[in-house]
Amino acid sequence: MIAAVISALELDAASVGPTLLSRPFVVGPLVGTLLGRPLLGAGLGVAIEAVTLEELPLGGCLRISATVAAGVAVWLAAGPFALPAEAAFIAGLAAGWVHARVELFMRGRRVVHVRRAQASLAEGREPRLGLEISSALAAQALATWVVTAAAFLAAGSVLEILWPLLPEALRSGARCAVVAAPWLGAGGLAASLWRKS
Amino acid sequence: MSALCARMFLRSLFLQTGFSDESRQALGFAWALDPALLSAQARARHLESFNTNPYTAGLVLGTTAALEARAAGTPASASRVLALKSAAGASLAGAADALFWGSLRPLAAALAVFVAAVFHRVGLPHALFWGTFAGLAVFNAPALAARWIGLSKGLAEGEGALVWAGGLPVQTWIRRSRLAAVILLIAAAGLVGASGSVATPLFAAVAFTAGWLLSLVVGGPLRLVAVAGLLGVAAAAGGWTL
Repeated sequence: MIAAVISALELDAASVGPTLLSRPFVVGPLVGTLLGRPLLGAGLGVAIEAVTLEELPLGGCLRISATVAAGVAVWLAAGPFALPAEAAFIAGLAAGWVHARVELFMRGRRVVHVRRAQASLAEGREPRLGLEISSALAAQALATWVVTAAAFLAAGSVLEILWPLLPEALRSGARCAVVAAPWLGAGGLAASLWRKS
Repeated sequence: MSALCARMFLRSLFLQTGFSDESRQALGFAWALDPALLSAQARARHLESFNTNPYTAGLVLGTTAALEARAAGTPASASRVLALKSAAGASLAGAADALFWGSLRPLAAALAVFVAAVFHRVGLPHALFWGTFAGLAVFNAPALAARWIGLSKGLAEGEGALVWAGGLPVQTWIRRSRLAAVILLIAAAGLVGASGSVATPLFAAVAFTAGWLLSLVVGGPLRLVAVAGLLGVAAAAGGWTL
């Protein structure tokens, strides 16, 4: 169910809208509330928002899916695996990176929808644009669902065992990074906006 | 006219569905424009590659629909429609990217955190809900208005709508929303930091200042966080933990 919610929200990132429903400051608290940990969700959402806010979707540029990153991170921290927030943060960012690669792969192949519509017109038939739009949306949602569920199961199973075995210095460093992330991101963004304004 | 406008507006929300490297937003644009097109030739024209900012797409859609209605099948007019659509899409996207992605999106995130922090501090209920609602509202009110007004103006005035859009004080809006975002970011970071609920106020202040000062040297926030992680590892190895 959580993967389905994240998939639906992810459609807002580029396919529908965008209305910012896919941003981590919305996804974090929402997924956290669904899992009974709204404050943990909000904290992770703000941390991931802070590190992805400067990623602008200009000209189709995509380096990380902030929606998947926030959704997976909160699911790992507040869900059945109950990973520490710092482990969930890192795993979430990795899942967002993987989803961006999948999205870029799909962008290379989606031209098939336009080709089918052009072929229909060339044959004198009505192009079924609504059907093409629906199938593109369904494929996008399915791909996000698969990436999200796979990332959750893989990262959760591995990190549940490995994380406690890591040296304390590494775990403390990760904790420091997650706690500092909102302020580092906010400071960097404020400086960037100040220079531009 | 208003029924057509409403139909195109709803379809314009799917502009980026089927975004591909080769045709960009062509599928979504063709579907949104479809209710205003009468001929198969016009439909085929608008399946060609096209890209713009999604929030200015309403203006391009409305103008293109009005020009297509006037083109009435003449080849010269049809090529002019395509040239104008392409030029308008590219030129409007520059200003709209800076306004919506570069200014209003950070403003929305900063406002969401600020409102949630204020509600939490004062003890009002549903702090997270109201914070999120405020962030979404400050972005979507102008975004949806830009789509609707652009579409209806374009349908009514054709090329005249592009001249009207060119006279809007967009640079002033960008400067003001960036400034508001900076103030809200500082206020939100200060409020959450001073509460001491996530980290000590000193740690929050040092991290914010480091983010401000180092953003030019280190680059994006992900790199800054990676540096913070490495510093944390070094500090923990030396006996300091958070």
